[in-house]
Amino acid sequence: MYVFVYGTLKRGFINNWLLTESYYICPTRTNEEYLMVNLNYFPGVLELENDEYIDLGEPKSKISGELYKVDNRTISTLDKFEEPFFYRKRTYLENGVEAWMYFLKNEYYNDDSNRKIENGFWR
Amino acid sequence: MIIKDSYDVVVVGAGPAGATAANYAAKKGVSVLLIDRKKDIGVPLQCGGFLPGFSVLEELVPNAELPYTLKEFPANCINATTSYQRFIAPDGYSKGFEVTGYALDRKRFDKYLVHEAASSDAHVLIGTSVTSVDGKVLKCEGVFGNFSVNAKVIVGADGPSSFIGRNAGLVLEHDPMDIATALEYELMGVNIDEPSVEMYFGKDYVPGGYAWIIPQGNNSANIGIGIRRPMCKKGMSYRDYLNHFMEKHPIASKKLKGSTIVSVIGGLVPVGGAPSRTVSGNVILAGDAAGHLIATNGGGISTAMLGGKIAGETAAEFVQNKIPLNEYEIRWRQQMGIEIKTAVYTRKLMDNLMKSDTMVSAAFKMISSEHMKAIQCGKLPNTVRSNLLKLNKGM
Repeated sequence: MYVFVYGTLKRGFINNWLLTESYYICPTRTNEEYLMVNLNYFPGVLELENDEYIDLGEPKSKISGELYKVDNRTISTLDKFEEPFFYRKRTYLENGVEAWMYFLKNEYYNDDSNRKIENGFWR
Repeated sequence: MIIKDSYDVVVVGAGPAGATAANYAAKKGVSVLLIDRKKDIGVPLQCGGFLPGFSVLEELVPNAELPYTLKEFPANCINATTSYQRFIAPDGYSKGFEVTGYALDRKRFDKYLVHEAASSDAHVLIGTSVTSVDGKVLKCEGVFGNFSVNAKVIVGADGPSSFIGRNAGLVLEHDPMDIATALEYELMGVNIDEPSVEMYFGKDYVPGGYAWIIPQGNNSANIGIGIRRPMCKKGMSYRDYLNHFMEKHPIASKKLKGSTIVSVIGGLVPVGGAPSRTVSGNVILAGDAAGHLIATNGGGISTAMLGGKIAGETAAEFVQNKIPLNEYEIRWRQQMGIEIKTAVYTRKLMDNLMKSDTMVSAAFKMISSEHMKAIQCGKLPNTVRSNLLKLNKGM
């Protein structure tokens, strides 16, 4: 099972230790374009589809991150770690792999004060 | 009244903590003098005057024996009764819970507490400041003249910048983030029809704190802000912030439009918790002077009165040679120490988030109504704690 991470779970960031038992594969990007926002200490990526209250004029971009191979235990640790703010969904990456990715729930998105990360790369 | 040369217990400060201390000490049969520098008890006001209902207080401090004066006070001390508490996040999202509370008329309430102390045979002296303390001797001056008085125990219930405390080397934290400044208006002609206490958040209106609206009945209300200086914008005064909230807040301004300010109130709120020690020599501290308040909401009437009760009882028992004075430290921490500490910890977890409206809004959406109530009661449920930590550290 693959997971694609784009924030504090990446190598060199504070929560990467959660992936110590996982296998790092490579840096890559998503095929789809999404909205990435900066939430001070971490980023969030939002799916803009199926949502009536977010303006589709938001700057979307391919999201840059890292691909890991993980086991069931790690993915359930990550699920617990990301709740209740994020949900997990499959997405296709530029290298052809389909991986799990964590998206910010729309209810936690606040258009007024979020800083958008227009190039889809958080660091 | 004739002031004696010497008392078993002298209480400095006749707010809720001091008056309660004097009352409970006197009830135990020792001689008590209660001094306040104010010429009129309860004036000027320095507080919004919100008191949660007695059953909520029992939840707040389950280990405590609360003073009877929190339950039995004259009906005319209550301006209005509220039945709901609502939190309004920066993005307008709101959430709340049903809870009984009282908008107190502090001038009446404080006078009632002082009268209770006097009924228990405490001597009361208003309009009198303590100018120096040297061991057991307090030098005083004021409208009834200048004199010295001896005390076996001195209870410092003289507020957040306690002179008695500083003089005894018992000081609160000096971190500017540990002191909130409250500025309040009494308004008449507001447009509020429901009996709800409201707390508004958002850094543009209330940096590092919140604004409140407490309905006082008859179309009047107490509104105020409790904010922290290090988080304010340069060039913005506290008054600017309160006016901005009153006139510009998208939700609150509609309710407050066209109202008249009939009173301005200001005060300090020590939100850093208790000093490491509240007993030194023959001095003990209670109320704001001892950090006896819940830092998440700044509420402190009930905790101050509980601290006062314990201070008064302990001081009397010490005078009667039953216990060492240090027992005070143990007793009040047993009865409300954990709640006061937890609230400071929760407040610190929120401080960081308060730099960003998005984060505060996210936190509010994440916390359930029941948990919000628990936080108000000095608890921090585990799920809330871990989720606040996540928001602080990043996911």
